[in-house]
Amino acid sequence: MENLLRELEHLSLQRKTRRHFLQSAGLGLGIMGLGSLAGCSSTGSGAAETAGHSGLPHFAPKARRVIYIHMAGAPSQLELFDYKPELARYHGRDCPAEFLEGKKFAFIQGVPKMLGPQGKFDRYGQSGAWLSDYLPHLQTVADEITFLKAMHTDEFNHAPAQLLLHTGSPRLGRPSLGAWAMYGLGSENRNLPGFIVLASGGRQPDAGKSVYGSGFLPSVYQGVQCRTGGDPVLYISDPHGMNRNARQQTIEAISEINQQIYDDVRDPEILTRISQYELAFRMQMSVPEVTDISKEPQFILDMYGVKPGEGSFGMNCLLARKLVENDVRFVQLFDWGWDGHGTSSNANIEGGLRAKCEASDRPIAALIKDLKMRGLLEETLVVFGAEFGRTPMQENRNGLVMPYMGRDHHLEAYTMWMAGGGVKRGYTHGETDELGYYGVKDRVHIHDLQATILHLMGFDHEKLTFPFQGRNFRLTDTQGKVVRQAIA
Amino acid sequence: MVRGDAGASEMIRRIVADDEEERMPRHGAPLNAKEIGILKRWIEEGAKWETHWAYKRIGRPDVPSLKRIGNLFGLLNTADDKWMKNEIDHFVAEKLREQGLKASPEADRTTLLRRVSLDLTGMPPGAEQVEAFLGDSSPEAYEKAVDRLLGSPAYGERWTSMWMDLARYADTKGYESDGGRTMWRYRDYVIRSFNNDKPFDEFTVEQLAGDLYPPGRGGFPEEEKIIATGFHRNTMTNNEGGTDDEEFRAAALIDRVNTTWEVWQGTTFACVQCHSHPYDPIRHEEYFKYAAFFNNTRDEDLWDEWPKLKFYKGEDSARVERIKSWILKHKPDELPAKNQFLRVAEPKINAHHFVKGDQSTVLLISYYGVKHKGNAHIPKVDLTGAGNVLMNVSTKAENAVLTLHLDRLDGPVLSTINVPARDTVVIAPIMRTEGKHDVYLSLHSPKKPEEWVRITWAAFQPALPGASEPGYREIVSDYAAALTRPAESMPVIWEGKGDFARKTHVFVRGNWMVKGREVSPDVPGLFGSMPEDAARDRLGLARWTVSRENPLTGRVMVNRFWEQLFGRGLVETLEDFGSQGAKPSHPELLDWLAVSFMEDYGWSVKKLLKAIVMSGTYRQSSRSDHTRTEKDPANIWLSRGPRVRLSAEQVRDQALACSGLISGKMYGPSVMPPQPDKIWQSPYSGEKWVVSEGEDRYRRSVYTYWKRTAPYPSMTTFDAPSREFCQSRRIITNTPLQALVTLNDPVYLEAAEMLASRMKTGGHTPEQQLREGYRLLTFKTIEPDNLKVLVKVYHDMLNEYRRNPSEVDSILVYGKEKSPELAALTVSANVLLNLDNVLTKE
Amino acid sequence: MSLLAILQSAETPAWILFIGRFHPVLVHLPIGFLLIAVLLEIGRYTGRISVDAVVTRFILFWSAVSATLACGAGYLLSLGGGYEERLLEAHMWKGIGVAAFAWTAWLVQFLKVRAGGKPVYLFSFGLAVLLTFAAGHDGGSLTHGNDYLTRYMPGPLRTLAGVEPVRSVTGIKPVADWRQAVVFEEMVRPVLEARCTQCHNAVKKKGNLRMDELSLLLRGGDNGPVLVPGKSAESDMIRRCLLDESDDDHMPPKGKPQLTPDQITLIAWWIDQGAPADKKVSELTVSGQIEPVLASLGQPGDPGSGISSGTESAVAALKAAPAKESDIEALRRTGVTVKPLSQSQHLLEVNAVNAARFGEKEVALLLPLAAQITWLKLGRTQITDASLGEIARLKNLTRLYLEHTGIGDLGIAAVAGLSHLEYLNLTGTKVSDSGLRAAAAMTGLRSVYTWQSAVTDSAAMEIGRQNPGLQIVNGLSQAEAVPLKAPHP
Repeated sequence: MENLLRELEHLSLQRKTRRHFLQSAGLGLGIMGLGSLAGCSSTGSGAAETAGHSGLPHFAPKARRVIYIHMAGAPSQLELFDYKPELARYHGRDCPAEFLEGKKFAFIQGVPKMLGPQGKFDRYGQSGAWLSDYLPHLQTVADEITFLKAMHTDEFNHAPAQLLLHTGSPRLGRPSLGAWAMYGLGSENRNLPGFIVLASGGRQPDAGKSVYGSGFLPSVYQGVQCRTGGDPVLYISDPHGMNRNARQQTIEAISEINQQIYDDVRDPEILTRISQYELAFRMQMSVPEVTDISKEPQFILDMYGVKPGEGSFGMNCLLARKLVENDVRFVQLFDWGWDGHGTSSNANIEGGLRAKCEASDRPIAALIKDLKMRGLLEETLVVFGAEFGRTPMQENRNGLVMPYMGRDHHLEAYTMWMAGGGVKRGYTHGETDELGYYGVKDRVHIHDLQATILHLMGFDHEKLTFPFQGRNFRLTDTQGKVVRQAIA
Repeated sequence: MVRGDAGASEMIRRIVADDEEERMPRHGAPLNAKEIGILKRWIEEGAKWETHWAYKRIGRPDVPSLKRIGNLFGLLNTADDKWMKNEIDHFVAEKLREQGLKASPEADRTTLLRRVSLDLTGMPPGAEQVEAFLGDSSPEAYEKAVDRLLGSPAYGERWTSMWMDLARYADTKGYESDGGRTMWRYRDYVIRSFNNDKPFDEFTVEQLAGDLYPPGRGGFPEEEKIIATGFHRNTMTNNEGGTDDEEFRAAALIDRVNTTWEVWQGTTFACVQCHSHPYDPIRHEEYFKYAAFFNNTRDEDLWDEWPKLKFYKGEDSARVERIKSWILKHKPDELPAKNQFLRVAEPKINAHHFVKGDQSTVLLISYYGVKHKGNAHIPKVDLTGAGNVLMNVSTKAENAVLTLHLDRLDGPVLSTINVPARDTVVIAPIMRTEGKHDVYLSLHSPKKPEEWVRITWAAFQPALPGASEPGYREIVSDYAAALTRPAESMPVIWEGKGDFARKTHVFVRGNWMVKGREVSPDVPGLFGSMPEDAARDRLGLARWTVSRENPLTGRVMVNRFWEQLFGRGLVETLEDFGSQGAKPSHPELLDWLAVSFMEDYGWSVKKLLKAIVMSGTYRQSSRSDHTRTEKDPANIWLSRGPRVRLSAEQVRDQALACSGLISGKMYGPSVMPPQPDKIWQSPYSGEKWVVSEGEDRYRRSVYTYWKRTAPYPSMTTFDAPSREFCQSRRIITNTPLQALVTLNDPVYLEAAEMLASRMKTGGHTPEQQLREGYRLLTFKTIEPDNLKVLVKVYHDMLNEYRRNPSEVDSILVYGKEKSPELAALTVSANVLLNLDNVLTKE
Repeated sequence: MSLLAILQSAETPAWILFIGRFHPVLVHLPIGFLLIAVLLEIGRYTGRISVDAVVTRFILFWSAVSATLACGAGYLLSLGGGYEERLLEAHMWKGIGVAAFAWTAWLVQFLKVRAGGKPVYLFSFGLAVLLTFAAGHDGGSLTHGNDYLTRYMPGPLRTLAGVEPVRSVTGIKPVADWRQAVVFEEMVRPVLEARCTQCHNAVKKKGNLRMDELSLLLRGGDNGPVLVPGKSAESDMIRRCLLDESDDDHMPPKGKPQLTPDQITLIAWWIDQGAPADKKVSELTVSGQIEPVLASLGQPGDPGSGISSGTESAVAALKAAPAKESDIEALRRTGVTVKPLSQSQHLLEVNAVNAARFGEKEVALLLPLAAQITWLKLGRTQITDASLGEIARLKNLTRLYLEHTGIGDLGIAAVAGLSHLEYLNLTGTKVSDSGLRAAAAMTGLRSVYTWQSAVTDSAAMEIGRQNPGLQIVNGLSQAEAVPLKAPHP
């Protein structure tokens, strides 16, 4: 209710500025009129811009923007990041009983065999970070990265684990990290949604839209998905036979009549609607602009290894850079198809994982270099990871020997990494035991990661709350400790 | 805590402890002296724990009297009482007085008619209905209109939309591949139930326990009641390779508990699956006692979703009739069992229960596969009285023979089966024996040893009677054919009995693998207690849920209907009536409605809705003003009528209706109106969105095909849930993406063009035509200023299209007429369809 | 606060406190009376003056009465709570002592006790007087704090009285030449004093740990050693600093001023180096990790900011008065977004991403917010070298974005005076090598971006070598841009 009053006040303030524009700029209800109103963005920044209302951010941020790369399905840390020579020695032996007691795996049954690392590992950069030959390009930017090698989570199925990673709860209905960021900081670019989602790999993450939803926060904070192929955003393009100018006139007409309706019935929702229609109009112009890569120089395309017109993870990395360059607050990338159980020729370590790495390693390295080159990396936090890791054991679905080499879901220990946005350069945090089963030093729980990301964005994760059903909810639920060692 | 002695209470000691380690709340700010004082006083006074309002039996509150000094104790009927129409208003008036607010005048008639039509039927009124209403000056005019709306078939469709969110209805199985399932008969059941105003208690019992009703003719329950159980088959089924069927059966079970609680008991306690908080009113164990009611159903997360209710057609239904009459003739008491097997194919042993032997494995999660020299066994089968084995098998191998042995691989031969090539139900006689035995299967298939023999299920049952009679062989093959031949079927709930009943255990910390203490069915103390004589099964549970004694059901349901009409429940948190939920704004009104619903209206939803829409409270104008917005922005105290954005379904249905496109066709399989491509992206699934032909393009939204992982986009944009889980409330939002839908979605462009041609016939001058368009959508005459705006758009567009006529053909793609005028009108219609008062219920 | 005290405070009625507040007044009566009594008695015994014993008895009586009242009032006052437990107790008993012995002395007189009356009288009387002083001192400490008396005690006196020598804990002075600085004395100790020794000193000794002397620090406290030379990871003092602030073990305790990450890094490094007492930086191994931290010690420290480096340091230090809403509104009208960068400090971020037309005219609107604007994003706008003259007046600027504008070397010269500037983006500008040199000269600058500008790779490299603390990004070498391995088809 207090929020409502706040909203109302904010809207009427918008209206004043709007009026002002109509008078000052002698353009009538034109682009200026449109430009003056900021639906999603200013409702978002409403939290921040209407000074005094909310003390956000709590302190000066290091990361003003986030690119969150989620490899849905979960790649194997043991092939890519977490080098375990011991595991190689155990290769093919029965898994020690203590690893199995009271444990539940998604597929492993009975006593599985240990599976040695399949990648060739070496140390890279001045920092000497361990990386495998699966990631020849990431090697070149190892010194920009903070590796979190002892991540752990609570959920061993994809959907709940993804929900936990993005909303802090394995159940539906909580706001995602991006929505929280929007709620706290609002968006900067008035013509673009502040929270954009790019999915590749042919399908949505298992947990569906909820992983970038706004939960109980106002829906203006939810992620807007940009599609590859077809309209970048659903219904963004004008119908055939109606040009920009026509569309502008229609929107102006709608706004003008709605304004008169408001003057009559005084429902603040009408003001929001007016602003949302005008944001919609601006999005129609700016979204295609930003998502158009035809103006990118060839060497940039080569760097990312993409061709114009293709809808790929690489292309999404390039788009991500263009979006943050245009001050989009939070860009969420999903790439589906990392679930290497060893069940089929494209879901195993030698086949699937190799292919997925070849398709993603180069653009990710390119993204980091590109951001750095433009002076964006310092304030753009790049996060790479998945909902969980993979087991040191080879999967033995139904107690059978699998046709291909694969690993099962593993929640005790896996690797994620962060770069830019105020995290240490060339730093490795946390260790796992010699078989890579448990974290033995500096374990980082999903909630700790979330607390850290919020901290980098200028929030005290315990203070960034929203009252819902008589309780103050926060992203980190009741836990979360900031990983201070990772912060530069 | 020591009642009556704060000093001796650990609780207080902890609160006031100076040691950071000890002091509660941990890490929180210490309580201040006043708070501590209150706590201590409370303990000193014996620490009485008041039952939470929602868990008290619902009593009938007195209707507040109107007698005040203001109106000489009711002698004069003062102006500010005039608006009141029935008891509801008395309760509301009381609160308004307390809040220092005044009721608003009644909304103008057209607005009111549009409001009540959208609310009761989800559709705007037709032009002629408006005529009739405006023409009727009698005092009963409004009531007549309401009765007509309650009587219209659209009524059932509108309220079904609400129920679909609660029932998490979808046309797909959910999870990864999210394949299709046949569920529409359940949706139609709900529509019919609402239209026939089936009493809500009966409606409830049928959905929760339709299969447990006493059997009717042929020893099988009424078909409709079985279809009703589809409610709880809307749980998701996971076909993802390698998933454990039992794990996802457990997940479905949990979902059934949570859904039943949320829908009828307004209770969301998902957390107690795993543990109980000290403050949780429901204990961990109680959760699983409740779960025990639902734990005996035969569904086992099978790939093909058995048990399903089969609908026989043509020669198959003839076959079924032949079989039934044969049994009736020779051994009538065999009829129920056989009839049941024909309709739902239960009980049977699903192949994933087979115990693995050599050369065999589970295929496609649910099937069992065995190769030459392979074997497996079925543990503990009750063979008493069994004369036949029925087995659903198939193979590509030639003359493969499956032999069934008793107790051991080399035990006495029970039966031999020649495995057919096509997927078939084979019926073979078995050696007579008594008691429970392990049945071993061994396969001899030397010709193609590498080919799998695939077994879906097996059943052991008495042979059909009348073996000696002529025509017996035909009847047996009829039986096999009926079971084999594909027939339309839908997933239903079917109770497992005897060997097929399950024991329920507590899941330790919510992990289905770790089984704790065994529990027997019962309801949490919180919800009161079931009467001694009540059966401890789903039927008993369902009946108790809608018994007068249940403190929640009545309140929760009336609150749902209220929210649908006013956009906000008397208890704002529809899904949570617990202590974490919101307090009721009008507790007495809530109880009064609940009691009336249960006792006076006999659970008739139509009567309840009529009472509400007839109230003066509902009829108020939704116009607000400074004081009202200041004092009550959310209109909690109802000092004005509801003003709410239309629901996803209503937005589309209205556009189709006002443009004359809407189809009145009811019922049947879900349809696929146009949607952008690349929306369906499920892996491991070849299913495609095939745009429906003819009038199916224009069916009401409640008939739109619902794929869980990719619902119809414009629906979700307008806040429809994905229906993976029960959702009580749609939080109404207002986003730019919604604008893009109604501006650019072809569905709305087609509507605009059709609306334009209607406008064209409605007048000669552009002014008349635009006025007509506004009238078609709002039933009002347009304000001159607004008309000016529209006229301007129209003329600009007209010139535009006159200048380059090619544009005309590209904007007008649906109708025959291609003229700059119609094109300009279409753009104007596009504007009209996006006006706030069109997208909003005023 | 004692359990008792809180329990009562829960319902301490106003009148109790009201009467309690008279304690300070009342206590002075017995003091005065007793002193007069003493003087009279001394006078009497020395025979200087002649007064009847009745007089002293009379005064004694009133001393006793007033002392008793003072005790009563004092007790009531204590119910209000908020006093240091132990001290309060001492004060109370001494106060009661005063009253008790005053009474005894009076009684002896009153009853005219013959046998051994005298010594009892003198003893109790004397004791009453002594206790008055003691109690008085406690009372002072209770109200004005422990070191009230000694705070301004001159050095020599201190040593006599065995009181802690003084140590200034205000701010941390910059190190002249960090390479030559003695690590513990000049770098670590100031941090400890700024953040730790308030509680871990001779007086307080929280957890029996003293951090005011290296030897004592090495000894550790109740929970064993807090510092393992050579092993920062195993050193409790580091672990506790790194714990989340909400954690019970976290140090300094929640609410107290915290160590900055750099301060922690510094101490951890010092420990890893074996926690030497007198080694200079130059005598220890300096990793790339720690260098910037140490280097930053050389820079003028900002009040309260403590030792630290990186973008956050300067920002964390900056403070400004709240900006005028009207000024912000005026600026917003140009289409830029104005956002709080840190609510508590009233700092602002200004972003012209939506205001491509932003140019010389609009720049003027920044000036009213000169104190608040800390991040200024003018990339892809119309601003010119001329505008930078005014931007130079935004003293608190830490990040300046000029990418893809017409800015050239002149402009850079104009802003060279921005002492807090840490980030400068000149991508796609006309800035040339000389401009880069000018930028490199800026004291605070940490990173400058010159890709697609007129800056040559050779110059960038050379200037980079001359300024180790400065990161210069002049784009990617072709080798970097198109990495070695092409993806498999």
